[in-house]
Amino acid sequence: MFQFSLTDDPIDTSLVLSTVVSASAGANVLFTGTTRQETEGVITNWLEYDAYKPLAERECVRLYEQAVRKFRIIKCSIVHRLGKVSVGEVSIAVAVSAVHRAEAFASASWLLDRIKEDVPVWKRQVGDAQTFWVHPEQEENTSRDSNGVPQESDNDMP
Amino acid sequence: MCEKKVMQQNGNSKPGDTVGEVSVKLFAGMAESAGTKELRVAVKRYTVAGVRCALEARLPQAASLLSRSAVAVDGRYGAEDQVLHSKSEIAVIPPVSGG
Repeated sequence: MFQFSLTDDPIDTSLVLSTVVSASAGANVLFTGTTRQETEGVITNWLEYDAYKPLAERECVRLYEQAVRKFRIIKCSIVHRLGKVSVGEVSIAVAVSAVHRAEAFASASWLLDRIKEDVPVWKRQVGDAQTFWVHPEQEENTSRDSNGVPQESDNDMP
Repeated sequence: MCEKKVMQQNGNSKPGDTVGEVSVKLFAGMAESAGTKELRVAVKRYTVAGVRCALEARLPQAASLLSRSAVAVDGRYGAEDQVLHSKSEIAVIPPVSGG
């Protein structure tokens, strides 16, 4: 079971976690990402998020299906905030349930890494000193082809 | 470079020829650089590579970011040689930064 949403409203993290509870699961992990006030000495007043919704949903479904194969997770819920997200507020919540904790922790970590590489969501860092869209340089070991299209890879198996 | 590719693939086409127009959705730094979230561009080929060439010419200030961007067609990442239709939903996907 997989749930995904993009929302302009504050994320109810307890609700996100509750959606992955299952009688088959012995482990439930909830990750939340929050707006950090300082990044490498630069003060952030708030972040603004934008997304290409159809592709974001498709990519998250693809990542969920991969996570089921790699980690045998039972349920997963991903919620990403859009628009203005103030310091300390939650921008993303990822909840996963699995039979055992090792798979639950590993899958949540893996999902976060993949989301940050593959899912078309962008943040704009707004501060007193500077305001800019964040577009990271692609790392050499990321699994993309020459067109920038994400590729499935087993290199990051647990 | 784009002009040369067009000549090779279109055969009889002249360098200035266009075959039609497409709408392109832009996001984040690409939208900021273009000053708009959607752009209509004239293309010489109905392919992803054709759209890249058209955008390179139209938005030279965004060429560097465009070169690091993927292109999506109808909600899926597209290969450079993917053929488009006049009503395809095309989106430029610059390096992502969610989470």
